[in-house]
Amino acid sequence: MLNARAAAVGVLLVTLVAGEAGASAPIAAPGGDPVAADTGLVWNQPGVGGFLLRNGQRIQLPGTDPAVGGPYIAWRNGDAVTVAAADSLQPVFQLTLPGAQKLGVSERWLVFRARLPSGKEQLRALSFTDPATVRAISHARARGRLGRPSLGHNTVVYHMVNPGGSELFSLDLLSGKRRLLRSARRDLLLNPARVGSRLLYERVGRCGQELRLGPLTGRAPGRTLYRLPPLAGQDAGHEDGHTTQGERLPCRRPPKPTKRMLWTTALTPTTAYVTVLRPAAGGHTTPSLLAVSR
Amino acid sequence: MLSEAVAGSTSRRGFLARAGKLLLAVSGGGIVAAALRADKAEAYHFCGHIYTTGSCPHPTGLPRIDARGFPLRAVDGHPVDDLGRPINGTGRPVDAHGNPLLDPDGNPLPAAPRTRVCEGAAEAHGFRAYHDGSWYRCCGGHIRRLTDCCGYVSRRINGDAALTGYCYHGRRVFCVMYYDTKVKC
Repeated sequence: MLNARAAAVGVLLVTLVAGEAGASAPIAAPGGDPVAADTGLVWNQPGVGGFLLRNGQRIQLPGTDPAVGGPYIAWRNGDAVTVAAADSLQPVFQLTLPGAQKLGVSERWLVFRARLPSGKEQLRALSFTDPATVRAISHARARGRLGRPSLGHNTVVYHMVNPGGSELFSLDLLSGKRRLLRSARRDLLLNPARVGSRLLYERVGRCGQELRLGPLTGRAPGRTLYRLPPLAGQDAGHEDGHTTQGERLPCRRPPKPTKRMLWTTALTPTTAYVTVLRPAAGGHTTPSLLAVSR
Repeated sequence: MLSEAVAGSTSRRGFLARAGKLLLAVSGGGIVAAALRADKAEAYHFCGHIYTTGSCPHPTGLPRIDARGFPLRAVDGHPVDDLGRPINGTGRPVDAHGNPLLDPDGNPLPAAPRTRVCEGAAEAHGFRAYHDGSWYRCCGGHIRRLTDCCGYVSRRINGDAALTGYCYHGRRVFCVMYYDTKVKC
């Protein structure tokens, strides 16, 4: 992992994407949904499966939606979830978890977002001390409202989107205590990841998209590590042949909108990772994975 | 029948608003066309606006709204969310062809909030929003309903003194919006 980090940092030093804030380096395209830990970086390539980047080597995993954390690495094939030793990739647990989609793993826990028969989604967790007992850690929500769980040690962070706004939560799996970390009524707060007391998240607002790194709690917005233009343009504020008196525009500078959107994230002590979605035909999107220097 | 002189009057009080609504309700087409011809309003920033009060904050600029006060993109009347993105009937963001945007797993991308334009202005500026009266003009071949976003405010969005306009019960105009009907004129 150290070598992988060193390689990523090396690329970061020479790659500056003009107008998009911090230094960034491509990791995989297509590829997204990163999870990072001391033992490596994993991501998913749609239609292909999971990959592990460790010591500069890229290894294809025998499943999709991989996660890594503590001594473990996990992937799934449909509802069959494999938890393996991160160093040897030898399976340690084989679990059947109906509806399992996105995984998170740590030394003690496996968390996952499950698709329910009703079509809704729910976050669930199991402890490796009692892997037969799966418990719900969120209410069931309509598809697209619950974010992917990001797990570190005993704490999972995730986003929830409602018609009245978006919220970032942390949940202590030991105590069951849930904390609201941040909320917004107009902007979208999405895809948190945590290392220690630092929180990586996205703020998608009317005039831009920002990948931010800030304190876990409190209102401080933190630093913007990476920025994309807004997802929509604006008109002139006045009709043709009319004066500008009284017009009011949403963004101070006329935005050059983009169709690219910030998506899932991962965080290490040195590097932030972010998926960028690019639109494709039929409303589908293609992910690409970037590393961004902290 | 209302005369053109009445409809074109610069008096903006309640009778005209109610009369305009009545016209829309009972007549459609020709009579309305004659009665609600737009003022020569090029001095103001959109057609039909007859005073200097500024637009309400809107995700895409011009303060076009639907019949319930939610934001529409002025250029084509497409519903937009608070991020300015075009959305479908369930509030999900869509591409240029109307397809819901999906993540790489095929799940819908998160819907952003969609706030009524007047409520958004009120929230941002600290007052309670009221939709009181409206007035009507012919703009671009269709009847346009122009609506004041009202509140118990002393200053309008421009920063100077707020006026009564089409607001009732002591409320004053904070900012203005418009709704383009399908009624031809």
